[in-house]
Amino acid sequence: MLIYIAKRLVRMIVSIFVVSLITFILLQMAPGNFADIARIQSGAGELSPAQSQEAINQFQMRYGEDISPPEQYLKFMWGAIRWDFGPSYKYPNLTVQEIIARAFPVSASLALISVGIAVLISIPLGVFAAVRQNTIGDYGSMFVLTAGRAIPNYLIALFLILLFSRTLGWLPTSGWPGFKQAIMPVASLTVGSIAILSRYIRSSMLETLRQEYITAARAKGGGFSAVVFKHALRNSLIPFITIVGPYLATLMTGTVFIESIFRIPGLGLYFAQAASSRDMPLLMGSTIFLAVILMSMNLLVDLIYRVLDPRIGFDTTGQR
Amino acid sequence: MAAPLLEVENLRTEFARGESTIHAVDGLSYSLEPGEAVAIVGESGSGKSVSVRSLLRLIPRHGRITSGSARFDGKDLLAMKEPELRHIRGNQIAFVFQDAMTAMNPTLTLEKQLTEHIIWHELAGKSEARQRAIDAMTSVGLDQPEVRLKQYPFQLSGGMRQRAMIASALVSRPKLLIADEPTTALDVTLQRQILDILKERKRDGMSIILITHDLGVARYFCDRVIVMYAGRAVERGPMRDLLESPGHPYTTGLLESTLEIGAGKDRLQPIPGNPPNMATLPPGCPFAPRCPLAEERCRVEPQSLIPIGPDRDVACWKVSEGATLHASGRS
Amino acid sequence: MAVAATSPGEIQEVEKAQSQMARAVRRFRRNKLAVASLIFIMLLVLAAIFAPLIAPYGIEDTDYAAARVGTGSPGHLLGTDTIGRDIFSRLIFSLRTALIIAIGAETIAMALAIVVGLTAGYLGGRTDQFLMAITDILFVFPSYLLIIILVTVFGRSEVTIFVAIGISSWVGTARLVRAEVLRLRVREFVEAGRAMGAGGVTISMRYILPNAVGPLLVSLSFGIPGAIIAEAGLALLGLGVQPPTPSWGSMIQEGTQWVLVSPHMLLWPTGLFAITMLAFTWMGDGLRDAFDPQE
Repeated sequence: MLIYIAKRLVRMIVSIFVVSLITFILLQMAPGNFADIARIQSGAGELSPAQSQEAINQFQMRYGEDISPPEQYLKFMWGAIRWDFGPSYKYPNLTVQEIIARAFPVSASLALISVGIAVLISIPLGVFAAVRQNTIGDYGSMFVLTAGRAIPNYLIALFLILLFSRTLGWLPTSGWPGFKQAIMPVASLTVGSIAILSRYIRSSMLETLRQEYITAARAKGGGFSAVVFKHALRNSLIPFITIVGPYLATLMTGTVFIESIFRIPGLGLYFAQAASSRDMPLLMGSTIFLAVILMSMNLLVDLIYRVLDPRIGFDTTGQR
Repeated sequence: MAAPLLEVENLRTEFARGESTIHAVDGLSYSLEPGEAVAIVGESGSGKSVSVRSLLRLIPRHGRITSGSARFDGKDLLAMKEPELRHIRGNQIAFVFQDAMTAMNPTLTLEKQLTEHIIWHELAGKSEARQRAIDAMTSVGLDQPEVRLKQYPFQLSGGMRQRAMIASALVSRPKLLIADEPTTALDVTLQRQILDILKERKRDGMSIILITHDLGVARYFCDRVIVMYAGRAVERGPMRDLLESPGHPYTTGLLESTLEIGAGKDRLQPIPGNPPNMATLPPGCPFAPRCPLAEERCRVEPQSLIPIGPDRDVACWKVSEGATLHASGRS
Repeated sequence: MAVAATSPGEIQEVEKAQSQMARAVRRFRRNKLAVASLIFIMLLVLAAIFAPLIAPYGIEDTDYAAARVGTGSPGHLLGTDTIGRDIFSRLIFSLRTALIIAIGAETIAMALAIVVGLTAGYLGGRTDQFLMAITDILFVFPSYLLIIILVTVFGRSEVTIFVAIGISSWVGTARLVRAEVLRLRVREFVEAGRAMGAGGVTISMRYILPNAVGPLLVSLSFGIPGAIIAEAGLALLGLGVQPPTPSWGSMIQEGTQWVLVSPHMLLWPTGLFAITMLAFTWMGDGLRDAFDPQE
């Protein structure tokens, strides 16, 4: 098992370097470096001249104007390995890692709460649809959920705002943290998640229920609860984990629209801002960080799956 | 004579397929005495498997049992409420499947799978159930039962898995064991071992219904045979009589095409023609297209079972009037 | 290298592919919802094509006197925005922009996916491993982040946007194509083709691709709404298509800012968006069920 983990970690590290390299090269090609933008922004009143000059100084101190791009890259990566991405351009008194440490938990908790609620609802819903296959219950619930699949989360968010803020006036349209503030953002993400996850449970259950060992369990006198839950659902949940894990990771790294609409200070929002202000360290740092999160989540899920399913070992020739 | 353990009368099971209906079991009747072993023999598609699954109401969703009765110990399995039937499954009637690899849950230990039904039916507590499982495993020749209990199906060899499945059926000490092609997936040596286990159980008083396409397997320990074709019984009778002088041309054909070690045949004769298309059965005798004795009357008039002896009947008017199909295929 | 003669096996396979297609079409037609969605989408496409003829106003026709008037106001079926531009007209032109971007993005994505998938699947070995390594890496790149970076770097024109979207979404389909190639590569008709001297490209194009049409079509029908969603999302972040080109996303963005006061500015763009997405999903599901029914 340890060899397997080691191999995967090596692949991860290589991937991270490639991702960071691609990002770096792309950003180098961006028109206007930070200093120019900062000057423009200070002209437009977004940053005080003092602030922008400070940032430019930091930039020059850290990288020097005449350090070539490859050296810049290596210097940056050397710091990155030690969890030091340097100060952000836009917020020079904060280091990038501080921003990430502050902002990522926000995005992560948003995603976690949504997926958590979604899983709790999806499993019973999916089982229900599978057991009542081709009946009104099945068609009805799956039909209603189509909206959750088809419509992107930010659109759901906007509909919710239309309904609950504009028409009913019950909920605020921005702010974080706070229970009332969190309802709509979480709901926007949860609806889509339920649609996708319950569909998955349904088809996974349908496939499992077709297996001969389910008939065998019934032939032994198994009742609904034993057959559906102890045999079918149990076996369907194992592959379900391989879906939820990456889904959660994707959601954690994809909350940018919801954060933007509801003005939630998560990493996605900072990233979007960083893009328009060419905040290189923040862009690089967050891209690397989020890629690491995605990869780690995939690895974690893979390991859990191998532990849970007794049939799968840790042989890397593994298909599965 | 004691009352039969199982009495099946006019069982009909249908499957809807698109526009047409498939009569997988089309009026099957037979009875089984306690301690008796009956073989239901036929090609794949003959309905033999569906017929026994219908007894326990374990047919797939798109199937319907449309008529008939199956009295087990006096109560009709097809008419009783589901909770009552559930109490009989895995308890008084046990089912052994063809392929133990797919019939066992790959993520549960043997212990769980061999004892769960004992607990469901409240036949014993957890530790007694475990002991029963160990005894059953020993009786089918599985070594190191305590160790095996903690293992998963994939860790066992094919033969051991099949034995484990039989052990699972035996743990509840059923009155009737239904074995659906229990040896088809195994090689010849293993076949023999599995059949020996079943033979022993029969000797101890358990009734058995054996489903197979291989008459050689059937004759191993079965007292009586029912030959099925296209969903119907075409011949019924004691095993020895049937083998010595088969009645129905299909039975003769089956015998001819069965490899029996040491029987001294010079060559196998496959039955000419193709298995019937169950969606488009011709009127009259379903075997007529492939039957060397077939006449116009055969193709038009549906055949029902006609007694030709004290305990034998055949669904062929020609045979009932004395025609026989000799081993070489000539009449 | 052109292969002139056709073997009986090949003819069989072509016929089989054609009858598979016919069966799939029949199954699709039975799905009323999918057919209705297809018709709706075709109407949308027509509306987009004939936008200048349908829209009562131009996209830049402002009317300060009639700023932010609501639904059903005289002359403005769906109301106007902050500087008096007709929402209905802008919506139709946004539809056009969205479809252009979506089709462009999907073309790029499909092309990349087919080329990479075919090459990896057919050539196998090192090439396959290398290409799969690339796809693995791209897979872990959080996709919206890649699009944001690309648009930031290369600007906000329609072309750069759809190129960015295309680049970030081809990976999944490439894997699909590769799987199909692997599956079909070992079939006899491919062997027969090779025996007759057909080269890799010919085999790919003539034998393998036609069989992969189903999954590709499904991928396309889900890819288009995905691209529209991506573009609209970009607009929400301020990175969408540059004005004055109207975009769905920017209309939604403006509408959001005025939601408490003039909800019609948000309602109509989001409403049409939602219905369009539903139509694509129903159609996509219909296609998927048509090619891969699971009774």
